[in-house]
Amino acid sequence: MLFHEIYGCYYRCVGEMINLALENQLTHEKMLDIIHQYAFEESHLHIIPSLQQQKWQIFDQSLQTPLQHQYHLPLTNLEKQWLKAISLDPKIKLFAIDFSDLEDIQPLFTQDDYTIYDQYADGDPYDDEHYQDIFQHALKAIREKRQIKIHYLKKDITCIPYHIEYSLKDDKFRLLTITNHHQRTYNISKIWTLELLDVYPQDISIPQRKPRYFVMHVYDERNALERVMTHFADMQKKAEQISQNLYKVKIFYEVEDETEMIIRVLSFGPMVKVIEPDYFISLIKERLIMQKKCHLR
Amino acid sequence: MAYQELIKHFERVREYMHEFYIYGLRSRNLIHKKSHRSYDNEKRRLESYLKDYMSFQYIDSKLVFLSIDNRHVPHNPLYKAFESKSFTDKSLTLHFFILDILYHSSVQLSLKEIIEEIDHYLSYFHNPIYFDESTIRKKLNEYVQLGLIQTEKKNNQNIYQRTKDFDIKPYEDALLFFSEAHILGIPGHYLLKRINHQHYFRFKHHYISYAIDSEIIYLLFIAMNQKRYIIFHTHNPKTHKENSFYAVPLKIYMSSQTGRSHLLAYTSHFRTIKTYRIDYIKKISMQEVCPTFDTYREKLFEAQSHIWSIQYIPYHLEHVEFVVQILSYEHYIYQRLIREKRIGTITKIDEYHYCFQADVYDSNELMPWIRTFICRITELHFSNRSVENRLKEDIERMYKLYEIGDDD
Repeated sequence: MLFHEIYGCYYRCVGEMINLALENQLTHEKMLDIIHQYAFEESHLHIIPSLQQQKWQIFDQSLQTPLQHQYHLPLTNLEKQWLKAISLDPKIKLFAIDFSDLEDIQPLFTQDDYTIYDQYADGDPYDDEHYQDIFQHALKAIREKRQIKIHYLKKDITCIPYHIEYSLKDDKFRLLTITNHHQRTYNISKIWTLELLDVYPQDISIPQRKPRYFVMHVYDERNALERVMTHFADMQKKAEQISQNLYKVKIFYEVEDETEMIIRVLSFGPMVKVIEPDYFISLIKERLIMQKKCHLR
Repeated sequence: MAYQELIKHFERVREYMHEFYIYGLRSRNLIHKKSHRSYDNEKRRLESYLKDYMSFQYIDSKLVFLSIDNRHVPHNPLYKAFESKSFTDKSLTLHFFILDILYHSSVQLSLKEIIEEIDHYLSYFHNPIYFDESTIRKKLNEYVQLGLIQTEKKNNQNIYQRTKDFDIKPYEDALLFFSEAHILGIPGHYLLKRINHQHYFRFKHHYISYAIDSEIIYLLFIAMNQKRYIIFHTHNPKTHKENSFYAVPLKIYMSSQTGRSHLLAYTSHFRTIKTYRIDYIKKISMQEVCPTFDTYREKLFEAQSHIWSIQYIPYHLEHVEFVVQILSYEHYIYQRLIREKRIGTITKIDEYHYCFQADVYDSNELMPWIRTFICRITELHFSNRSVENRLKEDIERMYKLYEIGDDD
């Protein structure tokens, strides 16, 4: 069962409270801290009275408990079957895990049960041992907060890696770094060597790039509004209704994704019209002018 | 109904979540035909899950929908909704008692011994809850089903013990990744909650709305795993049309460019494979095993070379052909064609022209992709002329929309 109370945040809060109570550390304030950390905004209004009024018989008035052992939940069949299923994914080779504990478990799903029909065909080479090695070293560098030196497109670059970014559409991993005080992204498949250097100072700040934006009108015909909102659901945006079938949507994007944004807008044809900024409109117009010159047959 | 944080059935919030997520900018009068109080309650619930990611604000008396870039989201905020299952007071108490009594896999106890231990725990309280034997037995059996405990017969009675401990720390990095990147990531989220972790991954082109349909996807995986027929009920929120189907689920088709997923299933009534939107599926009930599951799946496998996105229409193929101009310094466009074409072939016609050709079940499905090549399309040849004409009309409409004249 996927939706079950044992996975719920109320159970988690009570489990955390038991663990503190067994160490004689539980106080009313700590109960509230746990609830704020793990549950919803208004959960304290339900959890605290239920425990105090002993509807849930876990603690007495002095926050002592008859329970004797630290709380931990065994793995469920669902969780084990899911782990077994991901062990069949080609990308699992990047994580060098021994799955022998799951030998007798049936996978929850296999690669035959689903397909990502619009994923690009030139994904990263997950079977390549050199690629796996670079990926694992990059992850290690991030975990241990170390600088790295990489050989990338015939250049030696020293940088601080802080995240690995994956795109399901591209089926590619990219390394997000700070290089010479600037944010730089490197395709992991194009990193030829990666050397771990010293630990970097803890208090680095990631330089923020100012996002660009464009605003478009969406004409709600051929189900365009739903298609636009689902297609751009991954982006930062601001949307509002202008009139019955007209909507205004502002999309924020990073400069390196500009060409992709133009392509995404063009895919909607006349159902959307970019209305600002002029710079972005001219990029669309440029393509339309070139198209007109193609004398389409 | 007054607002409650916890919910009994996830289905209750699913439709609202889809509508808020997609149509967050619509007012409550437009969004749904249900009561205003239900609307307000569900909006409040979703805002509580997504408060750092999405918001609905009134600016100059207009409802404005704001959302953040999912690239900055280390974990799917919609997973929080799966932590909201309601329960009874007795269930919670019993849960912690049972797992404390069976605190290690070496502890093996009978039902009678577990009841004695529970009574011992309850004697700690002035007004102890009363649990009858059947309630405790049911809870133990439920936990055996879930895999938290296991049972075996000894001397004609059931002996219960906790299942073996399993160290998941070595899986941490894989959990961080697959809990987000997989269409069914929620079990990974449950696992991650058990260990201290930091988020090293970020996700581009990340559509978090998959999470909303997790329960349906989970049931479809189980049905496919067991090769079963299912009966499923659908509801179209736009037309409010409801339907029921008896079918064999064969494959889930998911999009990495919209976050939408579809089910392709063999439907006995139509005697063919049909496509169903998963966000429209409301309820699934398992039926008998389908002895011809492998044959139907093989049929779908053979059809895949003609499915551009999700449509399968038997005995109906449409030819699609278009030519693009690629200049000598634009090799990346050729690479784009190769990378993005899912089926079909690319042929070089002359020094500057390349032709894409495919036979597909529904040529409509290619229109958005072909439009992305606007600025270099020189020829369009569709056997379905109405689709070809619509594509050409669309391009003409775009010239007008952006005021591109003959002199530009």
